[in-house]
Amino acid sequence: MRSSTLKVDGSEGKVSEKLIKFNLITERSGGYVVDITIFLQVLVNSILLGGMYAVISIGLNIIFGVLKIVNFAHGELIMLGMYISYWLTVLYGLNPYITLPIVAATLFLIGLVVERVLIKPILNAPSINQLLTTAALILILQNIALILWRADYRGVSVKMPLISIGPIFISATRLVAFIGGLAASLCLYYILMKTDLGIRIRAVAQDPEVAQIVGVNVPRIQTLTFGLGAMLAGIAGSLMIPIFMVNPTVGSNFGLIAWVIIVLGGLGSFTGALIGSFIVGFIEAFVGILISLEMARAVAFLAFIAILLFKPAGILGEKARV
Amino acid sequence: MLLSIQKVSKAFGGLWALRNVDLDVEEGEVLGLIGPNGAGKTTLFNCITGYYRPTSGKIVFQSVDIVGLPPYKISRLGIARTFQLTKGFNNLTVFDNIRIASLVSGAALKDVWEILRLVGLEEKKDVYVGSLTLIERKKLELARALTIRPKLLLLDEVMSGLKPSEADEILKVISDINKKGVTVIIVEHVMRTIMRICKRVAVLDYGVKIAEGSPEEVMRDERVIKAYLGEEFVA
Amino acid sequence: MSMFKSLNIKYIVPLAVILYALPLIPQQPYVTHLMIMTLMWAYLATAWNILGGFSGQLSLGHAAFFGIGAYASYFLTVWYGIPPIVSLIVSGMFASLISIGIGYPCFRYGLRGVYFTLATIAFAEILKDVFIYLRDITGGSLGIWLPVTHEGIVNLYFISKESYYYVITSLWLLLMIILSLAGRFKDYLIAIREDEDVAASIGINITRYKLMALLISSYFTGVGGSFYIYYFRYINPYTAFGLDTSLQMVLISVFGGMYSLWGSFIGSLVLTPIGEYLRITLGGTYVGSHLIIYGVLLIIIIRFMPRGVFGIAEIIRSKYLIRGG
Repeated sequence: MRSSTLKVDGSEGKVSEKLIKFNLITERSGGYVVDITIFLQVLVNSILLGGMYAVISIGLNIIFGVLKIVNFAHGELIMLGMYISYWLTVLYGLNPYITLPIVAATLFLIGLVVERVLIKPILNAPSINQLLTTAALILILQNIALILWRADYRGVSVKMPLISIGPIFISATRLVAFIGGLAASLCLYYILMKTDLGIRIRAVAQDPEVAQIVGVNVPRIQTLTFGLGAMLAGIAGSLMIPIFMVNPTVGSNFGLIAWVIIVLGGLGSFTGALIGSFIVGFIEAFVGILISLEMARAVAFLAFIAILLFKPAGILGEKARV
Repeated sequence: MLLSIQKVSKAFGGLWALRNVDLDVEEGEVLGLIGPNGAGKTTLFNCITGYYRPTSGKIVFQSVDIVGLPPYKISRLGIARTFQLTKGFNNLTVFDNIRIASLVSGAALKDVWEILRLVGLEEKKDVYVGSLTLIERKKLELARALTIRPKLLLLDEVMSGLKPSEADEILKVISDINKKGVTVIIVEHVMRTIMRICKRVAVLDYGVKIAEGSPEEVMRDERVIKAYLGEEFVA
Repeated sequence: MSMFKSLNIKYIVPLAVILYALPLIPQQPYVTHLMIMTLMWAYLATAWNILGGFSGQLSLGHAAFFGIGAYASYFLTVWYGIPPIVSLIVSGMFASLISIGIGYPCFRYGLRGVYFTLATIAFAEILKDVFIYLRDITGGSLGIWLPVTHEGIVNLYFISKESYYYVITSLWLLLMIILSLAGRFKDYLIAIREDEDVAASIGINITRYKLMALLISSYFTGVGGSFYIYYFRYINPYTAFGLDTSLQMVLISVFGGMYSLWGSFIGSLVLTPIGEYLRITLGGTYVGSHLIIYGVLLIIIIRFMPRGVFGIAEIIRSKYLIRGG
């Protein structure tokens, strides 16, 4: 079923080589003809991307929900996760997916330390101070990475087949990342909803004072929650290292996108973050194919500003502004 | 008539904070506005001063409909307000707080001094507002409101949380302000103070005006006793 | 506050004399470069502080205006042949114009606090992406170079670094004098920073003053970007619109004391030489080490002295004055 639905302007720079490689675009006289399957393909890509974004943004969102702190450095935690995964793979020849539990545990510990040392003392400070503190953390983590590992882009390639379902191609690494991402998100959801720890976390998110009165150790829950959020960032890092190259500044992209997602979905809302992840995934995948990757980011940010202005409670609209 | 509130309603989502409230304020009077917690008193103040836009109704001040005007314009028309939870420019001194207000209204420096003297903050002029005591913050609220040279002054619980002797001090300041020709609407919880300064009282309950009249009349009103005074007076 | 108005002028004049006299002492070009950087960052942080410090609207997207100033200068110079000295002044207007795009909707819809900050970051990021994307016009991610031209003030092209030093020093002094004279405007901005509801209750048109603060702040930031490209003769979208550039302005201002007009100068005086020194001495082995130190300093300052270094000086002085009668 090959029907031409869209003509792309003939100038060469506009068409991604990847598309041609994957037979998604065929060259004809006078321009390129885009297949209808490209839309299915992009749809699949965007869903896969959304699954990865879910882990990132849910981690950030749970931190915001419980600690009410604006953490700008979430992306840098992902960056650390990617590097740790990378080095374990390169130095010890491990499969990046095997490194996942190690990375998750390490990031959990890093999260605990960061919360204790940097976040706890400013929990009641004006939000501006919190924001600047985590922005400072960005500078510190990025540049530590720069000193330790240089600015080079590093990546791990995992030998995995390109799965084809009819005319649609699915990269196995992205599929693993999607499934892993969703699984991690659902695990967290289960923890939040069904376990004793989860009840305590939700209690602190609802009202720290009341939680304190009924005997919840609020500071400990806050530290643990930050650890959990960081752990999710680490898991995201491990899942993404076979897909994206890592360098010291890779985190700022993910960090900002995570903010876009949780504002879009509604701050503190689990489902909102999940839906927001797929929306941003769609925007990125479609604009990325149609125009360019940079413009995909720009459009996501534009949507973000529009939501901030017109629907500050997010698309689900359940919570008011902080 | 200085201010006329006509069928003002305000809804938040599905909740009615005010419903068809009518209230007239005569020039020169001190009107008391009472009601239990959540009755809509502060909401009404916020509607008059432009911080909220009423869902429906008219608010006419000196024969101008002020609904929809932003707070700063309403302030410039001569309606001043205080804030229930005292606010101020915390990183500035008392004097600078009042002086900035005087810059906007065009009040002269000697007016600033006079206002500080009137509310009794002269001694504290160089103290940072962040480190004032509660009564001093209440006085600052009054001073700042006066600096815009208001015709109408809306006081939101300026005596709550104060000791009786402190409340009396504030009460005296309010009556001095009123003697200078400023019309006052005063929201208060403490009935005793309202009785002493207001000739006329309006009662809100669940966003509806349930009574209006002299303090004595209002206190005899059955609905008022049920809604508000019940617990305090009957028990 | 107005009490400080005269004080400011009192300090600015002797400081100007010292600053203009400094190049008379013979020095290495590297030291002159350090002085230029110190003044440039003092200038940029002061410009940021109009919006961020005085009116309390914490923008982390000021690189947007810096970048627009730089790119506008390039276009004006290279495409339209407008003399750089004129472009320097005009480029700020483009930055102001662009700033309305983010400022008007934000202030109109009452975006406050962190939400405003997030919007400003997103705005700068959008510009960065657009400038990378429009590579036919902007040179894309590779950036743009200004061609070599005739030396002189009209072309803002000098062989000696001292001349650049005089230009940036003059720009900073001009900004300081303007801000010293804008007493009432500054007071209104401070009122808005301290409490918007109270500011409105005394009759201050919040939206208008915030917008004015943004226009002025972005204008001077844009001029700073223009100076940057005439000095370095090169810029790319990452430097022009990057979060690091915005953060550096904020950092210097916060470090020195964002509540005070002098804070940015003090901040730059301390931080810029440290940063440049580390960048040059450790740069080969430890690129970015100066930014780690910036980050640590920022965290310490925010935690232990949120009024900044100058704020501490103010407190000590006022205590001393009170004790001394």
